Amino acid sequence: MSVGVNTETVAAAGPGRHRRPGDKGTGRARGVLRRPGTWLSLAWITVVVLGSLFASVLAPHDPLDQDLRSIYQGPSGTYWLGTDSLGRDVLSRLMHGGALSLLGSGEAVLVALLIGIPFGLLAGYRGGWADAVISRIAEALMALPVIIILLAVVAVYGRGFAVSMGALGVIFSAAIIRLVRATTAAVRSELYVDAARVSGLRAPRIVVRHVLPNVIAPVLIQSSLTLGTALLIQSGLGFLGLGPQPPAPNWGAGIAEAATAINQDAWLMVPTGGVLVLTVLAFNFLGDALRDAAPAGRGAAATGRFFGHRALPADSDAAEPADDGVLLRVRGLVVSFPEDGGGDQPVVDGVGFDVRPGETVGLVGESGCGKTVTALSVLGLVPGAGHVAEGRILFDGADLARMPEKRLAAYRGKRIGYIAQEPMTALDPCFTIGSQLVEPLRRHRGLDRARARARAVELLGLVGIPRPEQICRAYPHQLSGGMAQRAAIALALTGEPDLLIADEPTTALDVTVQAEILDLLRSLQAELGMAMILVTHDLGVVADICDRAVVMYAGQVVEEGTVDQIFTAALHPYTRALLRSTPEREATAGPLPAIEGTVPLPRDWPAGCRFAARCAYATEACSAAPVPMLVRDPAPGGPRAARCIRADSWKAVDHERAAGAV
Amino acid sequence: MLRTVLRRLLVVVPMLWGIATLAFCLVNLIPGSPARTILGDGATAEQVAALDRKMGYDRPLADQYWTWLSHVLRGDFGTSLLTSRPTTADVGARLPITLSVVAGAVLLTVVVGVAVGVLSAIGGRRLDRAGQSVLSFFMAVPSFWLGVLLVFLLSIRLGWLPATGYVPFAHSPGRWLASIALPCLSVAAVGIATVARQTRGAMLDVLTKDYIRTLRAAGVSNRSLIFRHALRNASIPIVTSVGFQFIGLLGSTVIVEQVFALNGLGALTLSAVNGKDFPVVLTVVLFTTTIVLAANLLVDVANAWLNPKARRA
Ligand code: SF4
Repeated sequence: MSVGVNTETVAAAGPGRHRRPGDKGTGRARGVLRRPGTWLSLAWITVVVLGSLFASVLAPHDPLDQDLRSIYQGPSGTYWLGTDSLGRDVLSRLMHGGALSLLGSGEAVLVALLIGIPFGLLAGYRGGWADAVISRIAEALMALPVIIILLAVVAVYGRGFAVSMGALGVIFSAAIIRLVRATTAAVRSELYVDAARVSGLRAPRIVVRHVLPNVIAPVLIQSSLTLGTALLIQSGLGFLGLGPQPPAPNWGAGIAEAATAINQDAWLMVPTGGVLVLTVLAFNFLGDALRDAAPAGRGAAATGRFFGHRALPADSDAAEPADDGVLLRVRGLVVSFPEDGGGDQPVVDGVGFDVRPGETVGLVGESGCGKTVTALSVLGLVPGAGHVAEGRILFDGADLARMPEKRLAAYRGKRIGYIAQEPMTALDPCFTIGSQLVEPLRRHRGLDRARARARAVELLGLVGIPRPEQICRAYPHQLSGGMAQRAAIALALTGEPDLLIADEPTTALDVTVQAEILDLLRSLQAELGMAMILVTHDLGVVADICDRAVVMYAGQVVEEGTVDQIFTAALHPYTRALLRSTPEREATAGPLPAIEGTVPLPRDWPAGCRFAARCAYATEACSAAPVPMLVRDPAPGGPRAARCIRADSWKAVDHERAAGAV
Repeated sequence: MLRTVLRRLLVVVPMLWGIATLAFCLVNLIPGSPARTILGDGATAEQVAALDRKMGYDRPLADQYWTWLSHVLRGDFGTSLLTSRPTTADVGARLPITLSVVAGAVLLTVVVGVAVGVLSAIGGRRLDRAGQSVLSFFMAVPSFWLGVLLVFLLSIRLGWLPATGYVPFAHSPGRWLASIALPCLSVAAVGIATVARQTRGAMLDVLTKDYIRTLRAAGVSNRSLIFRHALRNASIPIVTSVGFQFIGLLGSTVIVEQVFALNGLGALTLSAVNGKDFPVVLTVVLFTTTIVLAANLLVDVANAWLNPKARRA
């Protein structure tokens, strides 16, 4: 029996994100309503409530009517749930006892709400000493041994549920106070932000108009859960014989009677306990359903497959020859995510490119173009329920897309390293830098602990961390962003990989630190001779350290070439637009022209050129049919290609326009 | 670490004092005289007056309060009206039984709850669905009902375990374990289900974190990711939820003792409640509150120790 006041589950739904107009939550609410459990729970509660409140009318028998000739009878037409040790009708006793149980639990919840909501609002809205005092008292209430206190209350005020359930309500108010306080404080701080909405409004009106509506949902959820808990506690008291005087029925006492008679008639345990279990279950279920339906709810936790990638079925197609010096060859890669309404939606759509040993390839595009998913699919780490649906990922001749997770895992870290965008969250906060490096070092290099430790210090020195021994013993939160990124790079280097995939490695860093990290990556590459895929939205970074660039737009590669070619002679209007919005490294005067419009979502991808809606040179032909990748120069060092039917003519349009303007 | 303990103690001690005062008021502010409540309606006015004088109920309340508080601070919690022994002796005799069950239940809650939660989080969709339903069911099952069913099935029908009674650990560790096994199980069921749910949620949450991906990309094995990294990071919410369960486990134990005829704190309190033995009731309230506060303190310290950010601060 749960007697503790469980707030932590509800609190997640409370503060932080409060309801605003236009929140989408209705879809989820509908989903909850469609669950059969929601209806079953509601139906059961209705039946129990009606049956209990109108027991005097509806009950088939008098709950006190004894019939000593028919004791311990099983269920029958006359006695639907059988009879007890005195031949009384079990169903009628449950119905009559139910009124008492439900009213008692209702009383506890009502008291909790009457105390909890005003004090919670006061504490959350006022803050300061009012908050300090109220929170302390709530904390003390939550530390009370509930059952013992209730026993003490019964000792003083006598048996029966009226006083003890009121006392229970006082104790439970602590949970409501905490919940309301947290929600109110969150709403209030948001209201301060858009002060315009509240200017001129007095505090009580603000509370009623803006705060209360947000408090209702979490309080409702908590109330449902609290009702169940109160019911269990009350039955516990009844079980101990502390309910009303004996012949009058209550659910807890019914279980106690059934328990003493268990050797004569074990069946009695079923209806007496069952009605309690089902009712509590229904309240809990409703609480959970409400939480899932609430727009502020945490949402269904992702239950994506954790155990790695879903390998494509092996096929016998002869893979393209891999002995042409290519380290990584991606061909026709399609990565899909399951859609809400069923079916798969590709977000990466037929991507292909090559990476040669020692070469740095930039994967460029705005966010939402599929570059990160492309990069992660090489590692078999597509997030959530996404998966490679088609294509080949040939690494050193082996197709990673068709490799079972176990074998692919051996490539991670050892052959292919990975650096994430956000250094502060890329390292496990609970372990020291050293121990996070030691683990893969031992695995990849088979070193013993001491050697791995020494190598970890060496690596930290290699990535330019001063006093590496000390940093080895530090936790991630003790490092600056730049230092953390260096440590993350060291982690990626533990297996001395042939290919390093860096996903926006400098985006989250200060400008000065960005340059340092890029310098580091460049020098590491020169020193270790590894290939690198650099995922970035910043062509400046590409110009800095890449040999070749692969420009992506809306899930496709739209241009490929050497960095020189891309910068001096872009073939695709999108590349050109990206270049325009890229600052010169040295002087950045005035705001940069952002590319107008946004990348279309995968489900809105047009059939023709996907850039057409934003392209200044679009013609009807552009949208007529899918635009293929047009290869200019199949150079052995990497092709020159673009996905634009006007690749040769759009520049002329520019000249014409310029001329026209003069 | 030491500073965390000291800082928490600064909060806990006044809290304990506040609760003690509250409990004192609860018992001594009864409408009418406590002696009348104790003796019942059948007693004569002289009898009531005599008891009032004996217990000091006739003195001003503030006076009574100070006497009581100064005695309590010296370890004198008063004398039982039923047994005429110091209440601390009575409570002390029963405490080991209750604490045995509570400790066993906490252990079960942590070990089984965390194991089930982790399995549920990583065991695939179908196992997770089934697990969730079973857990919801056990969250709604009253411990005393479960206890009766367990006794009936495992003791009476199958005869595997003793149905009732307590054997002190010092007499026979094996029989001690057998005597508390079923009570522990019935008390722990809700805790296990709740902690398993929390563990599942925390694990699923942690497994989506960036660092899990980077470590995985660095070649750290799945086993280490789950049991070393994810579980370690999930441990803070898990410990907190175990702390939340403690009060419930203690309360359930007090009730479940009746099912197994264990002569613990529950039996003592129940007889004190029925016999209006206020000194004993007050002592039990103070002892159990102290235990709960100590458990909370332990949770705080554990969390501070588990969280590197708090540890160094
Ligand atoms: S194909 Fe047409 S719309 Fe697409 S980029 Fe080229 S010119 Fe623009």
